[in-house]
Formats: sequence, structure tokens, C-alpha cells
Amino acid sequence: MSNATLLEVSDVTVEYVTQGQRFAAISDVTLDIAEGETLGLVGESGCGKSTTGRAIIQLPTPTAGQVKFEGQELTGLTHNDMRPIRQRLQIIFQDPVSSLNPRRRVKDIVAEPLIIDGLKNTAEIDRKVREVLIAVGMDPDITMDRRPHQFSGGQCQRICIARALIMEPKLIVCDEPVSALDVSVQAQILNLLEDMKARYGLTLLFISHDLAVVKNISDRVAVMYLGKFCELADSERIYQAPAHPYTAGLMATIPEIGDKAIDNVQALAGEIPSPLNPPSGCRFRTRCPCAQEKCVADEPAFRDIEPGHQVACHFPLLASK
Amino acid sequence: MADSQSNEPPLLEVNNLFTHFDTPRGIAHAVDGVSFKLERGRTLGIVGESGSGKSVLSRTIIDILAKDGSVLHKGEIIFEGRDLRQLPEKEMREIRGREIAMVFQDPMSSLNPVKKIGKQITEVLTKRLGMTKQAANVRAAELIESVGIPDAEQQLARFPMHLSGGMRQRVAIAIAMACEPKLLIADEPTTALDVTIQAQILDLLREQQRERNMSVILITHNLGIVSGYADDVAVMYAGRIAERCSTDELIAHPRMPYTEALMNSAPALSDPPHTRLNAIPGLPPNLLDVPPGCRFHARCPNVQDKCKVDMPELLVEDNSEHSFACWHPLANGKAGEMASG
Repeated sequence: MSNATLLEVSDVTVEYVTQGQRFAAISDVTLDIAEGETLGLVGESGCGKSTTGRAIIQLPTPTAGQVKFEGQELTGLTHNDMRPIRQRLQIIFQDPVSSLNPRRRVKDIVAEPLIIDGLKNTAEIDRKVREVLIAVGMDPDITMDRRPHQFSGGQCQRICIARALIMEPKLIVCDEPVSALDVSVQAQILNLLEDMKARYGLTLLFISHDLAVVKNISDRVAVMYLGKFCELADSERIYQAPAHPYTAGLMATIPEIGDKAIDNVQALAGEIPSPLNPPSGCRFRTRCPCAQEKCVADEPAFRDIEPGHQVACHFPLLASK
Repeated sequence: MADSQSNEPPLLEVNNLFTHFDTPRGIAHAVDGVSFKLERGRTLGIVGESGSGKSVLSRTIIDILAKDGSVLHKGEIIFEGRDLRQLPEKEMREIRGREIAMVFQDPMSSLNPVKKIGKQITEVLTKRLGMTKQAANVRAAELIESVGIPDAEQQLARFPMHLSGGMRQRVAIAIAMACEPKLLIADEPTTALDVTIQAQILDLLREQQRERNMSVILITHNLGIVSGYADDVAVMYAGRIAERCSTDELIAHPRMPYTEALMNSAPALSDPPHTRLNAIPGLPPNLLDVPPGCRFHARCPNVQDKCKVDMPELLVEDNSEHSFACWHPLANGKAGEMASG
């Protein structure tokens, strides 16, 4: 990536207290996103991918670590100082229906960021709302006076995208934006995100549990497991030559059209351990087909195995695929 | 695979089935003239998007929709020679759960949150099979073990909230297997689960099916799942079956443009990043106001005048086992190259 770094996340840890016990939802997460890049973040439920996305927009502020956006450190900022930055740092959520206020009309929902920003000229607001609705493929004359329940899930997600775009942000955190949608609509929204990225010069952090979706939209992909990164590489590379056994296992279990009924697919055994009590050494060792003694004792560092390809594994798979 | 359907009648035969809902806003045509057969020991995948009628179809078969008059039915559901639609509720109750069992999408809401796992399984055994309490306890532990839950004895004393989503779905499968059903309807059994757990549950279902020579209706929105786990497949769109054939045939030679569009709209792992997806434009029709003609015509790339007026029937072509409802189907073999990957 030759572009300038837009976002720099270093050693971010987010801790929560549950059942009287402190635990880290994510620990020592380090990543950077270049301007114009799409970074995909993939993993199973509870791996910390949404927590990472939220830590970036300071909801909540991480327990430890730094988040630098456009060169500015965000972690120490007060709520009021954070406000103007949020305009350039937007988020889209998984369930578009519940992230829209059902009692408000589309034009008010989409215009709200402008109003919060202090724009009072109603003609100007109206013009901007129309423009962004057209951009996301909605007809303003039909949609502006309607309420969210009059739209399908895909259309609601378009409205959410319009709301995120209206302040012309630099970075959008997309937290499972297509997981609640049917495949045919999912394709529409993914195409729309690519179009909007080109048109508005966006940078995306795209969070999803679906490796195929992530690979399609991302330039680079990070795989998370139990609160830590286990692999990060270009999306083509991570698919061609996954180095972490977890990435490889994840890839093998995705049912794909054209897969024959095969019994010998090595489904990953077991389930994700509790983050309250993570395994010693490598966090993945309890499910790893290649685990050895060293994996129990030492936690593998997240290290370069090739330029631009990082992996946290003592025994990374050879790039032979 | 025509060998299995020689002389034995199919386990289940659905003929021209309609399920309509009488809603305040009009009649919703959720299932609108569906016919299919299911042989013993086979898995039929029913695939479709939200609102295509796949779940309503399964709930109609097992007869668990509201009986307050708001649901209107027509057609036959022949299960082992009897039309389930004609059976009195008392007899239907004997079939439901015992001969035909069901596994639902969300194992948290299909299990009773305030009853121990063990009780939820033994209840089926004592009430439906008349087992003694002791025998039921032993059998429950066996069932729990057979679905791959470790420490069976201990697990029986736990509540659903103590288990992960995957473990809960295993319990739901154990309950479904308790009466050794001949037909299992699995309605999106893995949609709420992570991919690694999904693979475990689908493998478990297949293992149970083979062991018991059970028939399975696997309902899913994911063609990839159908591709790996179903023998035959029916693609539903707006309440009707758009295409039906063996899974291999469907993947290799889809004939209905909707099937092809559905396959092409999913991103494939083998595609390079930033491959433009072939989204299907528009939305499925409103089931309260179904347009005339083919239900897919408004979104179909091959649409002609006839498609807007006349509804195509699901017909078999020549001597094949491949049926599709389309006036202008894709050429046979055209899409063969898509199957790779």
C-alpha cells in the first residue's frame, strides 16, 4: 500500500467486567488501514471483531492502546472533542431495521447528522439528502416521507448507508452490513459499497463472519480468534496460502456452490473457548489439528512470515497450495 | 440417481399444495401450488430467499400453523399412503414428532429455557413412547452422546442457557431423533451458527440420517449447503417451486434463470477480490399482490411478453428428472462451466 496511513491502531485492549471477573474482549490488536483501502476483519462470534470496530470509533474508549486517525490520537479525547471527528468516522450496523428509528421519516433520519452539525438552511439540507439518497439508489420523491417499516431490509441498509455518507466521512466501519440480507440483496449492497467507495473516496473496515464476502470486498484480510489477530495478509494471498491452521480450517468449512458431498472435509472440532478463561499458550491450540507441546507453553507472537503477511502461529502452514 | 425410486412408493408426496394467509391487508399467497416427492433415505434441499414460502411449506406439512381460520389450505400431503390434510388432529398428533420430526433455526427459542435438558428429552420418551422414567433416563444419555455432546450425564442436568448455540442445536436434534422419525424437517438448522459449528451440525445430521435411513427435508437459503448435503433440490421463489432436480444436475445445468441468478449473486471464494457481483435487480414480488405471469418476470434477464401474462407450470423436460417452470429456459448445458470452484 503506497497510500498514506489513515488509521493506526496499536496494542488496543478492551476489557469488560462480567460475573465479577475482568476479561479482555480483545487484546493487543494492532492494525493500520491506508487511505482508500478496504480491510476485512473476519472471525466467529465472540472473537472480538465488532469490539475492534467499536474501539476504533471510541465506543467505548479502549482500556489500553492507541487509535490514531488522520494523525490524531483519539483515545484521550473528551466527548466534545470527539464529535467533529465522528463526522469523518462513521459506522453501519448489521441489522438495518433496528438501527433506524421507526417513528421518523427517512428524510429526517438521513438529515440528522447535518442538523447536529448545525446546518440550518432547509433548502441545503433537502438538496444534500436528495443527492445522497439518489447515490444509494433510492428515489427521493418516493422515499423521503416514508418510515423505515415501509422498506425491505436491503432498502433500510441503503438508508443507513445514506445516513453514514451524508457527512462525507473518510472511514466507514461496516459491522456485518450484509449478514441479515438475502444473497441477491447482499450482492446489491456489496456492489453499492464498492461504488460509494469509489465515488466518495472512502476507506472501509469491513467486519463479517463470511470469508467469501470479506474476500470479495477487501484488499487485505485480518482473521481474529478469541480476541487476538491470528493472520493478516492480502485477501488473494490469505485464500491461496493460509498460514494459520484456523484460517485454513475456516476456509475448508465454508459450504460453496459446486461442493460435492464429501465426508472427509476436516471440520474444525470443538467450539471457541470462553474468553473468561482462555487457553494457555496459543489460544487456538484446543481446536488446532497441528497443536504441539510448544503451543501449550508459549503464546506465539504475531510476526511477519513474509512481507505483508503476518501470522501468530509457531508452526505456520507452508505456502504449498 | 433413479435407482432408489423403483417400486416403493415415496415416503412423502405433496400434490398441488396451497397455503394462504388471510391478513388484514389481503390474502398472502405464501405457498401457491407446490408439488414434490421425497423417497426414503434421501435428502431434499429446499432453497429460497426470505419470503419464498419454504418455511411455511414445512410448517404446513407438519401442520403447526394457526388453526383459527386465518390459514387457508388446499392440496394433498400424502405421507406413507395417508393424506395428512384429512387426518383428525388426534391422529396427526401421533405422527407429529413421532413419524415426522422438526429442527428449527433458533435452538434457544425452540428449547424450553426453564426446563433441564434431560427433562426435555425424557419427556418425549415417557409421553410419546411410554418408557419408564429409568429407561428414559438411560436412553436420554445415549441420545445426547449420539449427537456428540461430551459428559452426557452431566449435561442432562443443565439448562439450555448453559450451552452454546451449537450444543443447543445438538440437543434439539437429539430430541427430534428420540422417536426415530421417518422424516426429519430441518428448517435453517445452521443459520444462527458459526461456519465451523455449521459444518459440525450438518455432518451430524447426515450421520443420523444414514444410520436411520431417514428422509430429510433441509430448508436453507444457502445454495452452498444444499450443494454439499442434499441429494435433490427444489428452488422456491415467491411461493412456487421454480426448479427441481438432483443437486448435481442443478449445479451443473440450471435451467431457470432465477436459479442461475441466485448462484451468480453469491460471492465465491475463488473469485479475485473486488469481483463485481451479479446482483439480482429489484425485489421479490409482494405475496399479497402477486403479479400475473411468471413470478420472476420483473427481475428476469430473459423476460419476454408471454412471461408477463402466462404463468409457467413446473414441467419435466423429455425423459429427464429435471423440471423447471420457465417459458424461456437457459440452454441445456450452457452453464456447465459455472460449477467449478
